[in-house]
Amino acid sequence: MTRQIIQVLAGASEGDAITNMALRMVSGLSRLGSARTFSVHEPPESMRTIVEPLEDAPLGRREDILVYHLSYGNPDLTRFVLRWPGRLVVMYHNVTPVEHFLDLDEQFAMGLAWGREEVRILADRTDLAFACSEFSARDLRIAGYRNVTTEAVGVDPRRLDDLDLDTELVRKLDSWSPEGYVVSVGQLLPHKRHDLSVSVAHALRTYLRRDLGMVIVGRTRHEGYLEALVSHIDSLPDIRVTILGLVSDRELATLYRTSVCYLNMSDHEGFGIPPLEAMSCGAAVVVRDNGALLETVGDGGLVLPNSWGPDRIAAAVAEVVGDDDLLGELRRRGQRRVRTFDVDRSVSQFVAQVEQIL
Amino acid sequence: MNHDDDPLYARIQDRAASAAENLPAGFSEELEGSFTQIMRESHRERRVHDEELLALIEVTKIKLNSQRSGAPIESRLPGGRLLHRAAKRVVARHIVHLSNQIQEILVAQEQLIETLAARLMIMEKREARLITDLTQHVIDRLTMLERVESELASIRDGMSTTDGSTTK
Repeated sequence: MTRQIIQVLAGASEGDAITNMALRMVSGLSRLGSARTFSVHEPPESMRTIVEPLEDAPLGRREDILVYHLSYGNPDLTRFVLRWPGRLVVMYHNVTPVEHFLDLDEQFAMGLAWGREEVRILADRTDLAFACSEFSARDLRIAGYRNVTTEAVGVDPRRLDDLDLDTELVRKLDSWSPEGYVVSVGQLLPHKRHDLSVSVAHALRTYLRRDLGMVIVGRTRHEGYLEALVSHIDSLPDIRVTILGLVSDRELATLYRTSVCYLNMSDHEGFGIPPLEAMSCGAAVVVRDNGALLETVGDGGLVLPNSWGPDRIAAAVAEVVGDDDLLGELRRRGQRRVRTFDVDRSVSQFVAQVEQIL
Repeated sequence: MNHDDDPLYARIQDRAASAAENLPAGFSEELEGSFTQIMRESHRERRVHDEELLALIEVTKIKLNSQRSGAPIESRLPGGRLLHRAAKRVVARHIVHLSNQIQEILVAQEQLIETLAARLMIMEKREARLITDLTQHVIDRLTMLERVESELASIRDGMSTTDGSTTK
């Protein structure tokens, strides 16, 4: 009977970084047996043919493999993983520290707290552990995992490169903010700190006299945060910010290519795919030194101290966008940085390591 | 890896730090504090709304349950004038009671709808931006279509004048 290899995610959705990484691993894993992908939360209709609900997952046999993408805690999922009779491969994408949500969303915070606990619970049960970054690998080592491999398996920063420019969107953005705009991309969650990006946009226009707009892109994952973000924008005079929410890949590529700068103000990132995609599309990248952002961005973007407030960050952005040579250098460095990532090589190396535990 | 080793990035950081000194003192702290306050208030409002909503749902549930248990599905009353009259009184009283209960349920439902509407208003506020953008986009398109149509009409007019085929 054919060996079954199943990948399990907490949730799957279009444009989601972890979902994309898992799906890119399918063809590699298919070399070892029949590969399928499952999600605890009901996958969207558009993905039903490639991602199945967890209740349809096989119970597994000793020769089967479970690749578990750990990013959030769910006791049902922990039970499923612990009952799995075959090999267990943990792909750790990091779990956001619970303190970002403790006072805002108790239920979500509980899931995060369980995720951290699950990392500890699965340490002895795991046959092979991978982390997307050295920052995340440290969590695993502290929890007692042995032989942790740091590899951003399935990350493809160049996935947007070949998409056509959305000329209609360009026209709209040009008329909305003729002097250009900064783009801030990430799920609308409190720790992603789009609010800080908004404050930076305010400082840029009000005190640094840069007539720039700010475009915020990302799936709404926390309604309270979105409400507060809108109130924050409304409370600031002289500001030009638009929240586009979730956009298509083509729109995202267009935003990266036409923006004067990409900004990531996140307090926590287990890896950081948007800055890499932005670099690949030719955007100058500015991030704060939090989580894995420094090691992900490397010298491909400007990494600012995490202690800096909106005043200094805005001044740094103004320095970058006001100097064509600097912008050009930053863009060149970004392009050089993304060339160090090779999606096919990362998947092949991953599969080779999985093969060794069979 | 450290940016301090990179002269380009170190230079940008130095220049940014000195440029930021020209911004008003306490500017960053004020903005950060303001957003924290907004988040707290928003969270508190949502909690109050959620609690109100849950309380109203609970009241509605209790009323619906009491209506179900209090209303007989069928009644088999034996014949006899006295019994019929007594039964009539009981039924009448029961109908009044039911009517009052329905009235209360309607009030509770109304409150529930009002609370939901208030929540929707909050949601609408943040959606307004996106809707405005979208509407503007649609208006742009329609304007363009109208322009095309009028241009087509004038071309058609021009053509019909030229070939003299216009009939009345």
